[in-house]
Amino acid sequence: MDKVKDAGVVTATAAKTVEDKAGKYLTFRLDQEEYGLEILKVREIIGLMNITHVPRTPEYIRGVINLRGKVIPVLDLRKKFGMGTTDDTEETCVIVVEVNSIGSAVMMGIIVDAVSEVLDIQGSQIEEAPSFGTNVDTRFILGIGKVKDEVKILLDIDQVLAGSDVSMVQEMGEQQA
Amino acid sequence: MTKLEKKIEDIAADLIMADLDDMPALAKIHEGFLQAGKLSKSKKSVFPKAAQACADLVEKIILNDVPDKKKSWQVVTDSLTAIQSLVRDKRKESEVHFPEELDLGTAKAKAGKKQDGSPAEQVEQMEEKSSGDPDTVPQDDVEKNEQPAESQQDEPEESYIINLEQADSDLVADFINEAREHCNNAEQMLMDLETGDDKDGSINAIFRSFHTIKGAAGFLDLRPIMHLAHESETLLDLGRKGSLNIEGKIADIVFDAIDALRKLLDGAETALSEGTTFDAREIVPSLLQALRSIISNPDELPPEGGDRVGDRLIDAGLVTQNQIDSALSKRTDPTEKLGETLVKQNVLPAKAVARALRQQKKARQEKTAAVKEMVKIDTERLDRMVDTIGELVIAESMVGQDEEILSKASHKVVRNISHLNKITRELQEMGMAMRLVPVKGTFQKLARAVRDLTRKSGKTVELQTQGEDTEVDRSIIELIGDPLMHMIRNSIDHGIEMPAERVESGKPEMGTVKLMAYHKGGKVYFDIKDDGRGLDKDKILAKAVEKNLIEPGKDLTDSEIYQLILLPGFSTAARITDISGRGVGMDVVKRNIEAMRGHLEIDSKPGEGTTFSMKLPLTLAIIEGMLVSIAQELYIIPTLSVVESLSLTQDMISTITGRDELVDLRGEMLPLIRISRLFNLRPVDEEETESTVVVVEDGLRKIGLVVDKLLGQRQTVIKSLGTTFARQKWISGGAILSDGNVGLIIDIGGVMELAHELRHELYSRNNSANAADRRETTEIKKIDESVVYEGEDVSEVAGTSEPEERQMVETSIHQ
Repeated sequence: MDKVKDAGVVTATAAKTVEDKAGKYLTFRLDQEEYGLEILKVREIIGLMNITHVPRTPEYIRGVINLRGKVIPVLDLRKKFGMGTTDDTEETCVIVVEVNSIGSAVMMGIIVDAVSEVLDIQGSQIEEAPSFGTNVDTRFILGIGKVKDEVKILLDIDQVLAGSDVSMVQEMGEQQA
Repeated sequence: MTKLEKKIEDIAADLIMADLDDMPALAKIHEGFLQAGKLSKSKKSVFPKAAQACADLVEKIILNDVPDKKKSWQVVTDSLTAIQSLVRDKRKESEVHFPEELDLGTAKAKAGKKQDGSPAEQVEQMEEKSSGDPDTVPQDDVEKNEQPAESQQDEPEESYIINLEQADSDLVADFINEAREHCNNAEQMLMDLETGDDKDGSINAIFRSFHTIKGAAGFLDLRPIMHLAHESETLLDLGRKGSLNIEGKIADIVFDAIDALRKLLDGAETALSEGTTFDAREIVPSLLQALRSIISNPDELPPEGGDRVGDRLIDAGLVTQNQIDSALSKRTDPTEKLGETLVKQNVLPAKAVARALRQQKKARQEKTAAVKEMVKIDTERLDRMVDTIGELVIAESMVGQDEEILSKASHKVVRNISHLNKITRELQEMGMAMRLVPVKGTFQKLARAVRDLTRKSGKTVELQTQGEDTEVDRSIIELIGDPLMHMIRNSIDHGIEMPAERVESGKPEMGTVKLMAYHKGGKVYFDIKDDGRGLDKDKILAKAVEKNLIEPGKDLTDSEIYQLILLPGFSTAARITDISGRGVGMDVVKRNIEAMRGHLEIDSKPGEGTTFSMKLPLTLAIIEGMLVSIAQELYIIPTLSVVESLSLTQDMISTITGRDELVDLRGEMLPLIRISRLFNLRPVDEEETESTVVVVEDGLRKIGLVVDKLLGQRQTVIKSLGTTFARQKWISGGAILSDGNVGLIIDIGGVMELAHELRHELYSRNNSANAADRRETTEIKKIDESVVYEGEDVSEVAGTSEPEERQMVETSIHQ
């Protein structure tokens, strides 16, 4: 994983304090777990539609879709986090987010099992992520939110999608090969 | 308008634009009032006193000598309004009221005479100040230190620096854009001036352009720009009045001024975006010097460049230079045109002169008839609108072609749907049309460059343009400039002969390069035709063989020979000039044209000339492609690359080392690539008896792509896939299909490279025991344990290379 840092991909978000992380989050479900991501980064939510597969891309990239004239990539978050896959249901949808990937703003879609609600999470409700216990690499986690006895894993979506740049993925692969 | 009225109008304009901290502007207004006062002939009228009083008040504002600047400013403004009604509207003095504060009765006369009447305290103070009190800053010094626009003294260094820290960036950005437009207009007018049509209109237009730039620059405190514009404006003013002929060397200086202004605008733009300052000292002072010397000595530079009609008549052999000179000397009215003179003095029949004039007019550039009213639109908004129109078209077709609706539709519904379709198509056409830009702008830039080039080369060349109103898509307009420029340079440098040589071969001394743009057959063409020496086939062939670009003895058609000059490393120029000859030119041109999905044709006649014809699609936003299905997914192969399509049976295909497939295509061995394997798609049926193959070419290489089905030709909008897929060189973009889905566009070169790469790796890795294995395997790109590419060669993962074990592991992965 040092190689990832060398690639210059990781942005310095680790320094965020717990207070900074307070705010509104869109929560969604992946498998049995609830996740959240900052509402400000969400552009829209659309139902699952026909996705054009792009050949020779990592498994977690399902393909591209036509979003009002713009072609954007769509990722399967389950696969990205190494979870097992299930069939898509009626509740499966695509959350279109705008992230900062290598300097410029890029729109991407992420496939989730279901979208829950928008929650206002206070700083007091957020704890640091433990270094074990979740499926997800701690790099991707902003923190753990506890709302009404429910645990929401708050994702740093910039980090999650930063490594999705296929060119970087390939470079990393070459370095290790 | 009388001079006085004009002066008042100028002051009014300056007043509106100036603000209280703008010293140069205030000084100018002060000066304006003084001059206005002098212009008034009447001693009895209140006007001169008013003008003087205003001047004094402005001076006090400059010197910070008033208790309330804003109030005093208001007084000045009100006074000017009163002056305007007096002078411009010709009201009676009794009806016009000057503000009380102006204190007309106590205005001091400029000559220094003391006024009778009760001097106000203010006046006393002023007089004391002007009588040499060492603490005061005398008026002249004030002007000097605050760099007034009208002073002819050298400005201190600071006025050459552009510092935009305090500036409103939106305003400055707008100014830069508009000023650039003004520069372009001025340049165009200047070139029109040389062809002689409507001289007055052109000079006025140029004058106005500089004037506007000056005003806006002054308002934004962009001093170098303001000074330069001001001096240029003054020069043009002399031209307007007739004391100066804007031609030859003088025209050159105005061209230089426009160039310099452009450089200043560029510098300002950089300063604005980077937050730095821009130092204009290299550009501005020398030019200001040159401008001022002309302004002060208008007679020194004799008008250059003969009367074009005269040249034409001489060329046609109808008159001699002597006859023209003597006719000119006998001319009584200096403004009379040469043609008229010659006819009046019976040197030439009117018919001959008329013919020459007609030819002259024809050879001029066409002007657009009317000036249309235009609106400026943010290109982002325009693009979004065009995108949305595209969406509408797709949605409309999904409704209009829906089986369910059509089966139950009544006659009325069908009619309405058809109406909807018609409107949608119209909207689509309008959307496409909005992206079109006339090539006029590009042609202008080229014409200008040609003018500079011909001077350097020592040849006389005329650039004729045709079809500058031809419109092309925005996506293309930026990309055509470079190749056109290069080809024109080539024509001038290598094609057109030196004047002496031309005359010897019976050609007119002046060479002609024709630049034409036109639409034909759904494409847009750009032709560059010169009447030079043409291409030497034998020399080209010899050079190509010498540089090992082709085999000797190969039989090529004429056009194939000409195409050789487009190969990299080719150059027959004996010397390298700074214009061309380095042998890196034409192949870059070719690459640029191909990047635009265009084509270059070359034709030539030795001794007569060469024609370069560039064929381009109407827009880069739309691609013509062949829709194919591979493993139940849709792909598009660009029609440009398609040679033909075939249907093959398995027996027509031969294999090498059990892996590579070839087919004998009329004597040529064509390698086959199974896309479904290359892209790791799940093939519909591995062993098919019949395959559909699309033969494509990329430059000189041909391959056959095996697909499942051909679905026909499509014209689709091409969309970039973004940086995420930047490394997927085998896909050049996405196309939005008629059902709203995305079809991927195959990049032929990328596919060829990928196939080559994989083949290479496979051979170096698994040499034996692969004959039985028909599954395509690829090199591992392992990132971490949990993420694995489809179809990887798992032997590395499993740590084994035994075929049977490998197959077992593979099977488990591919489940």
